[in-house]
Amino acid sequence: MGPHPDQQYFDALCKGDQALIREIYSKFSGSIRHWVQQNNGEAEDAQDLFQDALMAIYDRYCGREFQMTSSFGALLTTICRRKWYDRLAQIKREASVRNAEFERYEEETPEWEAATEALLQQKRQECLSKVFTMLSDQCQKLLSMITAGEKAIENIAAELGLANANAVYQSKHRCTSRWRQLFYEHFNEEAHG
Amino acid sequence: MDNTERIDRYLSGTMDAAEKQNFEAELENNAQLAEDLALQRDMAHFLSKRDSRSALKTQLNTIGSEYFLSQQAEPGKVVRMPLRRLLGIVAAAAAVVLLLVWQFWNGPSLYDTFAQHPPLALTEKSAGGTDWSITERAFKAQDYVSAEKQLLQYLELHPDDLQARLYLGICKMELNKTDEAKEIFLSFKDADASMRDFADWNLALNYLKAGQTASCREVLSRIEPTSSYFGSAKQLLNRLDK
Repeated sequence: MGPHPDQQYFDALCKGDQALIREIYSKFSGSIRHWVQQNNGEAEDAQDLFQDALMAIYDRYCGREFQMTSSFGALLTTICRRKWYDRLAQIKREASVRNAEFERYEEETPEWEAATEALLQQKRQECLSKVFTMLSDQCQKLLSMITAGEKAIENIAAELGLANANAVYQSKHRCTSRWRQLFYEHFNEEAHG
Repeated sequence: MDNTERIDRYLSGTMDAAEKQNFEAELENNAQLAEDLALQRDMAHFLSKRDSRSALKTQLNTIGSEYFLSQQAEPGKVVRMPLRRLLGIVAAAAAVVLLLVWQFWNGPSLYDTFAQHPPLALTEKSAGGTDWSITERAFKAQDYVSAEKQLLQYLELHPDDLQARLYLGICKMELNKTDEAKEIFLSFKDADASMRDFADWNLALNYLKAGQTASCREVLSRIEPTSSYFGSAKQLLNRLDK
């Protein structure tokens, strides 16, 4: 059995395929814009929402193994709606959201579960990004250089003023520990805040 | 106990068979270890995807504007109506068409289309009890006068903060102080690749804003495929060629 036809959209996001990304917008942006405008939003809100939802799909699926459990459109729509409900709730306009529409959601649907995973992964990646900037410049450089894999460890050591490869690895572990500690502090804070 | 080093060895496949088996057995009963492992996987994912994620965001920004902000309202149902009312509506529609034509000719400039600045994030670097989120909000609200003023204060306290300096350049560019902005962006030529790429992209935008199209093209054509802004640079070059 060949790949699901929607697989191309997931791949397009991962590769930044301009033509197929345009197709995603062409196919799904109208319905999302219409829905947002029906629920106290403007075209600009819909644009932000749509982009944010695509980034959530990117964070969940690109570079990771996954089993496609829902169509791309259903997943995108579910993420957009959930994000919009959250946003309205944050600005205390939840009463204006159509409750009947909300109730139509069945939390057991495959797209609901897939959306939950994507939203969680996006929050984690955004928190990792935020706290990464709180590391020292040395740590940021070191972790980036090691991940890029373009330079030999000895060269990284020389460039960062470290004694040898062993010192690079020790620093890497220290930086990773610090990064993890910051993540737990901030992620938990945001989750409960 | 800090598991960083062990997890690192597990993820890089450098544990021997016995150690790996013990580690996996421990994962079954140690929730914290499992959580740390999942996080360390996400960290590796973040680092490896950071540039392409940022490139995708820029790409979506550009494409999104075309689809959402340029679309007209969806057509409604066609109904029969009295002639007088129909004529009134035709007149109103004509006015709307004129307005749309006017908007088309006065639509967002190429600069406005491409100058989609990522949000400023200074708060987490705050010190001395100053709430720098005000600066972030000013920048987000495109209140570049306030953002510029506050960034200058911030840079007095943090003169080595390259990101803040770059955003100061963006504020100046938005305020049409393109000569000052240019100086700032040019000062990044020896910075790290990611900062230099960001500075180069803004240098190109700055030239575009100043009407120096040839210089803009020249900077854009220098942006390398490894840069997060390569796709955007190509798109802007294409638009400039039209």
